[in-house]
Amino acid sequence: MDCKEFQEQISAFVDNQVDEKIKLEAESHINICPSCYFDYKIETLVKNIISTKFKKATCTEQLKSKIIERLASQKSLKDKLIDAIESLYTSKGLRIAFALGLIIIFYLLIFNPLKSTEEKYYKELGVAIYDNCKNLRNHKYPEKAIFTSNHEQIMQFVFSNGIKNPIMPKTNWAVVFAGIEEENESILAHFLFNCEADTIYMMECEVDALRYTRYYNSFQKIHNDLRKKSFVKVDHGDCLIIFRLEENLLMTYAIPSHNHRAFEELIASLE
Amino acid sequence: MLQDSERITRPPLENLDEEFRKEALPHMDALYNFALQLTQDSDDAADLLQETYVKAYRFWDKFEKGTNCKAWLFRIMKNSFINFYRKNIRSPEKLDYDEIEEIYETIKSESENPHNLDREIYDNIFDDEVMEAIKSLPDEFRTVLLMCDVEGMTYEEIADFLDIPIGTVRSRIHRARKVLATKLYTYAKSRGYNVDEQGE
Repeated sequence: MDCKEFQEQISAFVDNQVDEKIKLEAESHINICPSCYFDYKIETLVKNIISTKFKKATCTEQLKSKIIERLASQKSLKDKLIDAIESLYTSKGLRIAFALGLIIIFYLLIFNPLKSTEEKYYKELGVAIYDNCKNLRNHKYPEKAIFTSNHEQIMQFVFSNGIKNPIMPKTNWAVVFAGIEEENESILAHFLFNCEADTIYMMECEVDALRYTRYYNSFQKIHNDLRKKSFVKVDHGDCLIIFRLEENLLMTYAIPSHNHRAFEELIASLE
Repeated sequence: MLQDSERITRPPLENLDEEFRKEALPHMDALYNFALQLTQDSDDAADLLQETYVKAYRFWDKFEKGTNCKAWLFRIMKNSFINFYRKNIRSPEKLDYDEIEEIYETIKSESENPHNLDREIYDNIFDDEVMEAIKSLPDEFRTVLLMCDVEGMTYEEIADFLDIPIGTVRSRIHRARKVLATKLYTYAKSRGYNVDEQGE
């Protein structure tokens, strides 16, 4: 072992962290090398000084017990739960509070007075109208295919889930109604006014069901036109309405006028 | 079911897991020491110690029984320190190791007989001066040295704990001792004790 090798191993040699072979080599080296022997002595000296004179800080009893208490208190959630349940048995006040809490929770679950009555009304109305729609579809359009001519009610239905969650009639289900608004716009136009850009609405009704409305004549005219054409297009400003006869039913499709792509698709599907 | 009185009188220590009490709690002093070295502040050290034990207790089932519990606790402490105290960590002291080497070589050339130096320095150095000299070491030197000389950890344990090669442990310990040797020599000399004359 030369000086360089010894210097690499010197601390490990002092700390007795070398194997037997290196230990012997190092011992024989310091016997012949005074410089490395000096280094070895100094390193041993410093080690002795540190291990004997270094004042180990001890942590105070106060800190120790504080930590132990902290550990004991975090013992486990299970124990805490058991304690809580035990105290339910033993403490009258807590028992009553617990029972009251349960009653309140059940009350809220069943009656839900927090829900606004208005919202409840719309929801119920929505459900009723939706059921009506389904019935009408299933019953092959009975004589009275009219369930509402009031656009407000339709809007209430649409917004029965709240303003932010409108129930938008999708193309795959039909709102069946006859009867037209008093104003110059169709109910569909009202729908469209609040509709999503890519939604297409569809109305289907028997022309005869419109017989007693003041719009019967115009519908009859459209009906007649439809004998010659496959569809009649009416521009309503905000929306385009397409009338079409399908198995003797007057189908009305409405799409937002800005949605050209949907319009083209619709035309393509009709031809 | 326990009565209230029984719950209150039961000492907190008995609530602790028995293994944890036997294995982990005895190392509190050593860990506090280490925390003190890491944070250099007794309040921070107390916080760090508490945090270490809370974590250790929470993850006690993760501890492999039969392995070195002290090293395990040290590792938890080091990680906690890195996570939460890093922002406060002191910037490592600049150490001109070349200068240290120079001083060391001077001492070496002046002292023919290491045995005298050995005895005189050892007998004349104050404990406070030792603490002062250790404190002045850069963090990475001090940690390694104290783990070795104060905590009695093997090089392998230190290397594993600090995640550094064993060769680095060796050289850091060696350098740290050299720095301390020159410091202690300077202290002894500044107090009027003439090391050179004693050496002759």
